Amino acid sequence: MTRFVTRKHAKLDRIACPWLVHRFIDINAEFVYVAPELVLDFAMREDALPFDVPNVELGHHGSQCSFDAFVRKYRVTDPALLLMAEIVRGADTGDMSIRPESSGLYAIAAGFASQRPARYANDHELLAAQRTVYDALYEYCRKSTA
Amino acid sequence: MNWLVLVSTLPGQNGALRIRAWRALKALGVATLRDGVYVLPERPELVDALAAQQLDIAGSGGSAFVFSLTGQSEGDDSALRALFNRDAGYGDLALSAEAELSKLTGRSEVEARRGLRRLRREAAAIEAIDYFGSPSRDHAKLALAALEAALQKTFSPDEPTAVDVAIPALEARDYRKRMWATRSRLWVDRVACVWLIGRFIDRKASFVWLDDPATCPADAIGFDFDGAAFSHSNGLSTFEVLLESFGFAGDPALARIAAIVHALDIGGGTVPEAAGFEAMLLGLRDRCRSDDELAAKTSDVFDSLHRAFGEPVPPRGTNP
Repeated sequence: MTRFVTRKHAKLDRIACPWLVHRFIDINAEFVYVAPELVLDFAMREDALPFDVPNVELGHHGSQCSFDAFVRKYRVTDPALLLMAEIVRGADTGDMSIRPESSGLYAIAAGFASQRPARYANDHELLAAQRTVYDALYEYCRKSTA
Repeated sequence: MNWLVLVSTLPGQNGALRIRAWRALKALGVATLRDGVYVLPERPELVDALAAQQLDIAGSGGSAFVFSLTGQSEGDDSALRALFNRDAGYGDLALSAEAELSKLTGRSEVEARRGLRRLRREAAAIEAIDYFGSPSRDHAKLALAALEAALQKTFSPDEPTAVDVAIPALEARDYRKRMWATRSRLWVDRVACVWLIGRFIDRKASFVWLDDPATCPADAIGFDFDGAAFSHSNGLSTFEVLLESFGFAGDPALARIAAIVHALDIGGGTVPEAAGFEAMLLGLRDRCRSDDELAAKTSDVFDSLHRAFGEPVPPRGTNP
């Protein structure tokens, strides 16, 4: 079973990446959210893949976000997911000129995240609640690239 | 009349600056008199925009001067004005709108709405640099309006027509545990209303979805169809009418949601979050089997938008 570890208090990239993995790469993958300073320690000790932290393969590279890094590493070629990567990248990096849909995704993701812990106790609940959102976005991307 | 003239020399080896400057000037709609000499009508916002270009060029090793000049004769002015005629752009736009219209019946709603959005963006881009109101503008706008009307008719046939009436002030406490009714196949305005009613007006509300508005039960409160208690009026969406009626008009977070609803349901203006919200809604609708399910799932999204708009925007760019 693949394990991934990242910083806790996820908002966008750290929700979108697990969604991508569970939906298209490994339905059984386990995601662990820990304090930022513990990510690399945890990765070494538990043989987990660190993501969305500095200086790792599955992190930001240039203008690209971690979702892009997953797309690259796992050789994703589905045009709908490539479109989705652009929307996620814009929302995550703040470059709203890439795709017009990014601003809306950012607002929705930020609003979900700000309901933790009042409504969503932790990042896992936040991820579970937002699967619907990313499923819907994927459906839209599928229709748009059909 | 007065004209702004930018006289620039770009260093030959700086290709990036060349492309950047060319894009920026093109976006401003400059007329090119000859290589490196550009003209715009003198307006405050254009003075600022050209000054920014001047700064960029000078800061990147080129030279740039901006002058405010007056033509010696009427002939100079009219010759310059002719350089800003946008009829060609409007003509293309009208043709594209007519082509979209003729293909509408074979299209899915996603494709049709995307086409309309693209043309609206193109229209806005041309209008922004149509400094003297080119003659074909109205023709292009009519063609776009015709496309939009046909799209509404094809995909939302019972869309209500707006009426101009005074919006009454109401108390939410008079509307408890009521049955609310609207047209089935929920879309932007109606899903937003359902959320607003359930969250802020009548927490014990029940809803019925009508295939035919004429079958609205007598004891139900109708919304968003002709003859309903709450519907489009005074150029407002039904969501905005509900906000006004129940005294939520001063809530800034609800006002931003209202701006999204207005942009998608009625049109006009650009709201940054509208395209992403519409994408989400299109995707959700394709995945939901019933209006009940769609209403439940969009409710979380509206809660999130309401939270996001109600808080100071968190800093971005803190990612690795």
